[in-house]
Amino acid sequence: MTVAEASVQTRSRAFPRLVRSIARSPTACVGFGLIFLHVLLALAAPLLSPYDPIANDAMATLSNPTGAHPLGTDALGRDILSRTLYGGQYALVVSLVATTLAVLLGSIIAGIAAFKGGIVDDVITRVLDSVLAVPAILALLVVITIFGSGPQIIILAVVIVFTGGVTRIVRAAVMDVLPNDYITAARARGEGMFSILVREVFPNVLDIILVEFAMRASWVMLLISSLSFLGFGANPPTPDWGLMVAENRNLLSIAPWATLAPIVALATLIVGLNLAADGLSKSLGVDRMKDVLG
Amino acid sequence: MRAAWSIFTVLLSTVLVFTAIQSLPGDTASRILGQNATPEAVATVRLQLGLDEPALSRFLSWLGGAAHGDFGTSLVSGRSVGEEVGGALVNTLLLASITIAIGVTIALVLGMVSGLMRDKKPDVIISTLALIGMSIPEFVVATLLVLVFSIYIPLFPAVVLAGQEATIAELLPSVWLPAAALICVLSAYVIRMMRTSVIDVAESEYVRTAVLKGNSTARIVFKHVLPSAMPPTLNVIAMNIAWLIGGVVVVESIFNYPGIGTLMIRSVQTQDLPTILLITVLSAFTFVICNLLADLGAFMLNPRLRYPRSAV
Amino acid sequence: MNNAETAPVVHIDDLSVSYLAGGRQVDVLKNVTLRVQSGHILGVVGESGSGKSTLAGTLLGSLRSTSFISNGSVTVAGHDVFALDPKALRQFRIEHVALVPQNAGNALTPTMKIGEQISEVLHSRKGDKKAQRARALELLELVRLPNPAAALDRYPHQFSGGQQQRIGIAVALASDPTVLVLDEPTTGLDVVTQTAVLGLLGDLQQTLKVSMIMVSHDLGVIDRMCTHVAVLHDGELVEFGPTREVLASPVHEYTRGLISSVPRIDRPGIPPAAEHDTLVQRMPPAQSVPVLTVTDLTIDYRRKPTPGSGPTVQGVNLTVNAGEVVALVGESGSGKSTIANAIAGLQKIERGSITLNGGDDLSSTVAKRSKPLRQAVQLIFQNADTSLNPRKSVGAAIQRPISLFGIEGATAQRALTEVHLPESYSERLPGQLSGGQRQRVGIARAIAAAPSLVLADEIVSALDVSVQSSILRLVDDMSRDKDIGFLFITHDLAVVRAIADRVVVLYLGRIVEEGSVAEVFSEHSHPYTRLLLECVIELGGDHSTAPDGAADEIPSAPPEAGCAFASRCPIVRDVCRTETPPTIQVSPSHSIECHAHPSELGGASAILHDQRIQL
Repeated sequence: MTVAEASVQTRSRAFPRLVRSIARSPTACVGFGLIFLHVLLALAAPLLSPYDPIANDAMATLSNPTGAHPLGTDALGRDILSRTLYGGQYALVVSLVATTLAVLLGSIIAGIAAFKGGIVDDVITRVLDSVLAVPAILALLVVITIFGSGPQIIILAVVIVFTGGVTRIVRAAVMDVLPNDYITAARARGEGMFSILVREVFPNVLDIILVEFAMRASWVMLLISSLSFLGFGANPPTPDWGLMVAENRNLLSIAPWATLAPIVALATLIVGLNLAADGLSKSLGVDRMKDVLG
Repeated sequence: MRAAWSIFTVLLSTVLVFTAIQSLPGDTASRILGQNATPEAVATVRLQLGLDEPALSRFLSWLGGAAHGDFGTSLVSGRSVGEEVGGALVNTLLLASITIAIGVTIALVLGMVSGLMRDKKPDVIISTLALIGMSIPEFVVATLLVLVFSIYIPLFPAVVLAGQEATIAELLPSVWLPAAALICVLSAYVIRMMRTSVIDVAESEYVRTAVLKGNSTARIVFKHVLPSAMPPTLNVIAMNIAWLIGGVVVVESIFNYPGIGTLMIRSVQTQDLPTILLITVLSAFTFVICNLLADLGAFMLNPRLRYPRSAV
Repeated sequence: MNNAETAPVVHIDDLSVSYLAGGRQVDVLKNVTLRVQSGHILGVVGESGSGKSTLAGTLLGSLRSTSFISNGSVTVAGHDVFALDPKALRQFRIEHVALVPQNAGNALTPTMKIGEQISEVLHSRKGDKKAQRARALELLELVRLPNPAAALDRYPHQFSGGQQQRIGIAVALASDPTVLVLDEPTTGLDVVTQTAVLGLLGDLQQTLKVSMIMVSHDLGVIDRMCTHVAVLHDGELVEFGPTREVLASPVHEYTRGLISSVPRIDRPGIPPAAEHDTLVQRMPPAQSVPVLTVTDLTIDYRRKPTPGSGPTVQGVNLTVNAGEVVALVGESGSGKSTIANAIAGLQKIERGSITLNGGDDLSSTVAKRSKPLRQAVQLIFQNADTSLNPRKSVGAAIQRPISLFGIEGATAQRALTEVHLPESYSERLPGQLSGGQRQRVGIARAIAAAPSLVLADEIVSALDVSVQSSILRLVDDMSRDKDIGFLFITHDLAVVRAIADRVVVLYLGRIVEEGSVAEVFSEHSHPYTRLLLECVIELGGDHSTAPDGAADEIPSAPPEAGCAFASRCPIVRDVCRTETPPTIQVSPSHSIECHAHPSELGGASAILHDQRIQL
């Protein structure tokens, strides 16, 4: 069995276990339900939205909820409902892609660092720590200053900023697994680093990586929406929740739904991600908090 | 030993940020001047900024200046970066200290209660609130707070009118809403960590033994549970203080509070590189200091570290 | 006759304890009835899963959070424990009962000084700090803790395991309890420390006249300490009576099986297991074809040499022949695992040579060894929980070495059959197997690679006694059928007697004695071997000759020069501290490293010459 075949076998066994874990925990069910709903709405937005989200209508600005516009319109006459439905697309795509990349990269680096130990581990940890030392928003702002704010840039920036945190957690988990005797047995067989990491270690830290993914995704979403709010993320007239809040918050008393709709959407998605992470961690028996401290 | 590593970490962060800034594509000077980029103006600015010199010497001269407290001149206002950042820093510190003082205290107490009454009503309520707190972005919390406490119940100002040079007294009434927004998110993480830590310790063998010895609940909580539950929480508190520096950015901008956050946004919008550099370095520095302090605290609380194992 | 005089101090009446799992009620204890009179010592013996720890907990009114009393009651010193309200329960725990927990180190709060942890139980002296301190000091002296005055201000982690156990006893005694409950008081302690702690408990019982309930899985300990014994099996009380009677003529089938499966020093041979009734005698191989030869092995863990201490392992010579089982005996800290790791290529060596089959060099680490060499040496581990990957099926775990080394004709199913496990287990995960079954899988994994040498590191130490025998039988079969040499690492001398052909005794990384099993267990022994033999607690033996145990603390590092055992040796002389001891060849195959004259090393072995009850 090659290394690739071994990891395929792991994944085929892991998936049913994952589904079972989700089913066992009501928290996880609610969480994943919310996530699924949001993904569905974002994908189906073109079908569900009554209007084009960026179409201005000078005649119907700032109207209250009516039959024509169930959630009213904003200052430029754009339909709130449509904009809210479309609003998740940018954030979801950017967040999920960025999180996946960060988790992948972080896990690989963590595995290597934990396995090699010694000076390699030290150097990697120090370098990552110095990246972590700069708060996420600030780092992102710095990158944006230099490179501009296209989605690819933001994804790259997020990966740079968040990989360090993932590595910390996964490294702690790998270091918990390495002292076990079955790893010693594999070493005594002369197996190499990648072979041991994929065959023996990976199946045992998969749980932690999954929980980490859910948690990171929620943070990344928070960050991206904050960026959009500050005006550095999505650019107008793109419908984006953070941007919508920024655009409409001064008009709260006049057209509350323009601000509240994106808030509700954003909050439910992030709550969903966090519930999923919580529920998963409980039913998979992952104690994430202890690992935070390395 | 840890201190040496920490300084190295800060230095490395500085290098990283500096390098990132240096890799600005295109010509910095003309970018800054924008419309007014006449060849003479460009040349002057390049001279001013020392853009002709190689990166390393620029970095070293910045370091040298930094050692003397001279961080260069702002590209926007023309004033000393050190002065501007310093002024903003004081305001932010006011906000931060109030946030930390209230937030951490509440969070520790609530976290402890939550952990001790695991799965009972108080725990369910507190845990749910904490979950919501960490799921909602700061700008949402701030917006909602403004909606409730400035518009519906006009208690606090929605926007800070005082400028950069405002004194503490002038800022005091405006500090509460931003602080409240930050506290909501900060305490959420600390509550969850404290809860987990307390539960962990409460299930340990030595706490079970302490119960079997007939100790009163109060004694068990304060003398057996807390000293072991605190150290991991200290770490999280340190990380959150570091986060605060970032979270401050969004909240301050909403309220137009004259602190580091607002300054940072402005600097990014105007590409005021020296200011960006200093703020970023400062935050790295703060993060490292906080971690050191947390480690120190954990060290003090853990006799295993204070007295290494010696043969009796 | 006054009724109060015959009222038992502990009365467990038809007690059932259960918990709910997935809607079903699972009984941990089923209708247990026991009476203990004042001043008696009751031993509760059972294997894992018998419910003995739960029973101990009920005496203090403590249950796991998910368990509940489904029937019956527990009365201690006149109080119905589970009918007490929280305040009364706390009072009850202060006045009448105390627990000495299994692993005292874990039961002491790491952030509190020892003195304070004792004082907080001294409620009669509340508020009077001086009186509390004085009493705490008294108690530490009572449990013979060295340097008690200084110890009061120290933290738990600064003491050794044996010392922590003593402190645990002091804390329990501080409240002057009527009943003392001890949960596996000596498990995890070295055999010499075990003797010392038991001696202490026996003395305390004599002076303080406290009633004790002692939970243990070790029949020898029960035999030595307890006046009465209760045997638990699967939550049920299967036998109860005075210890001597029960051990001499057990009534219940389970008790009989339990007693007969305990390996004994005086009787060579593997005791009967569940499936087999007979004792199996181990036959050493006819020829001596060396498989493993270790010469002058020296390993050093220390970063830089510290004055006053020597290398971790020094000058070790040993051989293992094909088909032979050589036992490497030592306590924790003796370096036995270090030597095994070096042979397996997981540990660098300073000096010396390790050769396989007389020719191939094993001195290098795994990375530099050729594939055939890696295949030839296999490992089996102690802890079945950590030796198998919890996410890999049993079949996959066994298949891995087969695929890696390209063993022709071997399959995981065949390997499972050889260790007497059904082929269908191949799809199962380790978590679905019992401890004994997992250990068999570990053996199957090692054997599947068709090795010449197997290093077995404490492979039966964590198993219940009834399961031990079947594993030992397996080792016997494998060594003979496949002509494999076994280096069997253990601290349990009775197991050595059952399975080994030759014994090598290790102390602080230096070999002190070597010979065939019969020889080493005979009249002439190294003082350390003699100490180990004397500390073995045998069922039915005469326990009065156990040593004082005053010298039960192992030094933390081997000395720079001289004999490693000098600090604890009863016959030590000046030369022992400066010169390496010479080899005394008692017989061609039996050697002892000692400065003493051979005649001093003889002596009536208490083990072999005693009157014992024939079972």
